[in-house]
Amino acid sequence: MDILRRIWRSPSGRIGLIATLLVVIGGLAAPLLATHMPNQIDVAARLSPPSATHWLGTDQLGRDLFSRGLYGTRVAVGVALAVTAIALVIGILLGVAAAYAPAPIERIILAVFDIISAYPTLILALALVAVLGPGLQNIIILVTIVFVPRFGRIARAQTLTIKEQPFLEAERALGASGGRIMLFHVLPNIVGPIVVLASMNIPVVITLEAGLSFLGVGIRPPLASWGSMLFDGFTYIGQSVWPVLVAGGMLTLATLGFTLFGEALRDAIDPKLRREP
Amino acid sequence: MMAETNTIEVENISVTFAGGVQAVAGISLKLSVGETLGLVGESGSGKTTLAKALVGLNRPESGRVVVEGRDLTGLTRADRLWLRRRVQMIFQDPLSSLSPRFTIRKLLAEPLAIHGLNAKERWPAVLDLMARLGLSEAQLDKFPHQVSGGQARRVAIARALVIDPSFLIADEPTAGLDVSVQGELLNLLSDLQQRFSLGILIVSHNLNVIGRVTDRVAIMYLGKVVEEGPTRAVFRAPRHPYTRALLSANPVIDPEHKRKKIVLSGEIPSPSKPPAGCRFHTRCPNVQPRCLVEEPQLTEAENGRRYACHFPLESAA
Repeated sequence: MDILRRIWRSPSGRIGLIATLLVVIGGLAAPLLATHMPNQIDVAARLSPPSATHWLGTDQLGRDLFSRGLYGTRVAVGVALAVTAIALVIGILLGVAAAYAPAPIERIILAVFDIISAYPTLILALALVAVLGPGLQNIIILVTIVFVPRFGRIARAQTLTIKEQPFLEAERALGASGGRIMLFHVLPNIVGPIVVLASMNIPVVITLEAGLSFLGVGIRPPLASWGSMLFDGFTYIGQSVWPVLVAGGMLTLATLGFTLFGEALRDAIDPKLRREP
Repeated sequence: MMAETNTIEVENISVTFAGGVQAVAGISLKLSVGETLGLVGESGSGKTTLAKALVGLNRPESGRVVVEGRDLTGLTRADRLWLRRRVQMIFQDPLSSLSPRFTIRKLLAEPLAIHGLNAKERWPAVLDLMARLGLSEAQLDKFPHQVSGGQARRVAIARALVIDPSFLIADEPTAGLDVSVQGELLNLLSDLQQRFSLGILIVSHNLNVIGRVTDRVAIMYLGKVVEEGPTRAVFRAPRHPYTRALLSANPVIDPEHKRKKIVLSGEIPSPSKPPAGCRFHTRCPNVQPRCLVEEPQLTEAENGRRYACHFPLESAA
């Protein structure tokens, strides 16, 4: 609660929080808010501008853009949250393991991280799609692989800074088991920066998923994704600009919202500001 | 040696770190319940390393640690938990030895949970201990960084004592505290010792602290004990030149007090390459040719004193 109040205090944090809430609520309540079924085709009203029945217009098949956009939120935010959560857990496990493991194992883990990060994100994602094939589940798996090293590196660095702290030795002297020390004394002291990274990571995953779907190797139609909506709209941009505007606008709102929120969160939980008497 | 049930004994232990630094080189000491033993030495003399070996945080490369008649070599997990129940330690820097995201309440409850003790049943005793240590219940919900250094030290002591150990190892318990707070803390330790009949080992380089609260004292130099005995006797008439040099360098708050200072030249040699013969010969004011080749052994002397010197100082000071 205290953290939320601190985020609210900065103007950009407030914008970020509102935009994030809009996107999350829009995605969660999509079935209630949508005026049409997302895949309902109305060929008579194809590529129409905004009207009373189609609030934001329709695409090349006459599907309602407002409803499709809302359902696209579910895909975008769902993928982003799933990827970030899985990458965070695996990253922390590998990072902490690397910090505590004997040197050869640490070197192997770091080499894997380096190999993954050596490729540009989108290129690596494309290569992995070529292996795994497109589809929602595969997108989640491969984007997770791409993002694990980011979390792993920070987790390792954080663990290294607290590993030699006297309080961990004091816990051992007290009789605490390895598991207890890990869970109650190592983890809580390394997660701060990792959580901030996670919140900043969400918009990056959203754009990556949209990018892959735009290139046609991400979410498979007819499932609504902002990326594939952008691509379809792009094809018909001569006849109507509305599909591109709607998909691009929603993508912008989501990434901007999550980015501002993440930055405000980082400022809010900065440990230097947290030291109050 | 006879196994005694209310002592910690170290027999000829050595601790060597990776890289070949021998921090503790064959030390034998004994600490009994109800007794306070001081361990004195310069930085790098191995006193903290020895203290950690006593609580099983360092694995001795040779020798034995025997706690209440049980040999600690080849400890199983259950043994280790038992050991920690008997012997507790407080660390040099009190603030950084308390887990930063635990409140004082959680910090005090954790030892009970680790040792499977009923927290609810024991809580009145914990509060009693806190009161004895001068900590108020208002502090229970604070984090370590929100209390003073002296209070953090008391929390560390309380944490060590809530599980009723028989022995307390205190590494520099007064470091970084004001002189007035130091005095209070020392009184507190004596008080707790009598109340719980603890055996306390105080590791310190502060001779005023050692002189005030300990019954016996052991002087360490480069991983070895050079002199040991009843604190008053050793301080009044040191037999080892190193002890005398330490005592003469100790600041005394008394403007009338005049004493010849014996200043040791040079630094303490590196424990990775200790000098041959007597380890102290490079800095000893009374060095003789024999000291360079033959290492003096710690030998028993009158009144339970021991010292390791070929040419001990006269006992009449």
